[in-house]
Amino acid sequence: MLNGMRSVVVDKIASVTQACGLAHEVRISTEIPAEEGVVVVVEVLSNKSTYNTLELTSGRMAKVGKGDIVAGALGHRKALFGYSGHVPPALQAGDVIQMLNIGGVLGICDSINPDKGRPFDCRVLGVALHFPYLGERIGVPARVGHKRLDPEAKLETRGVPVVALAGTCMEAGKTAAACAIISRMRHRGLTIDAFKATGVSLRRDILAMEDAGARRSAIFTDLGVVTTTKTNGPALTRTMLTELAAGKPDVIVFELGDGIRVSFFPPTIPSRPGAA
Amino acid sequence: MKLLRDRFGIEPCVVTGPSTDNQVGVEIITRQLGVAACNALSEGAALGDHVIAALGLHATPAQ
Repeated sequence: MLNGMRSVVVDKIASVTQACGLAHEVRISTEIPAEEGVVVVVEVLSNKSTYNTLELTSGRMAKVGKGDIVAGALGHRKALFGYSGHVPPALQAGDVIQMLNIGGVLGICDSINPDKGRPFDCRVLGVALHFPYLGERIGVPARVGHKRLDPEAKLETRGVPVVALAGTCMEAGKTAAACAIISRMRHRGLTIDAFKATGVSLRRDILAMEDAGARRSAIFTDLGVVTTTKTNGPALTRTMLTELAAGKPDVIVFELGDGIRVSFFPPTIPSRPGAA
Repeated sequence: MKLLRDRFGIEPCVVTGPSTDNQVGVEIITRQLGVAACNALSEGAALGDHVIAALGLHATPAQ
């Protein structure tokens, strides 16, 4: 049995943990691997008047306040119009970390944008456990994603045309443009699949693409990545292109998070015309 | 545009975003960068039609 294993009632389950299928009563341990993607349960220690919501697994945005118990995931972020932060080298129950985005990414905040104010301070309660071994009560630290990313993933688009949206900066309107394109294509009888290739975990964008008419959608979080980097971005993009192309849509639309100057931009997107 | 063309070898087919919020921006992009420009919020259908045409997709006629 892992040290300090106990049950806690979680008030809000962040969207970054969606693949874990957490219930509101979660078994936690105080043996916490300080690694990106590990699901941790925290108590919110502060209140905020802006940037104070959390995207839940349902996609709803819930207001967060002092005393809330939240399940999120460790990750880093480098956002011009948000927070920058990193995963601590070690993490223990009782440590204070910050909520770095509204998808439930947790880490040590290094820098803030004044428009967003200070991030939520959160006391770490423990790592969420899941029990993958049938009939055994062996808890394993939960991690985000349905499956692990294969860094050597091959690109096979099966001839499906691909539209890539790259922006000069976050909040430039990439998702609005993606949704406008998807909506028009859908109205003109095309079947569109869509995904978000890079950025920091938040399902809002792909949910908007579904609302605009995308048949299927995907995000890098499904592959166990909380925040993309120039190392994993290309493999993520190849993987999602290949998986969605297997469903034979008429076109695939995908969005690259943040700006093209940032390291997120993968150099492996297909060299066909795309929308920028 | 320069980054996409020079660093990544990608030729964009259309520009959108805040720089296309009015006709001045659209004309600057079109003339100086040699690429089409459409605003996603005010000309969403035109933006979609432009991408459909650029890809040569067999879509039903625009309504």
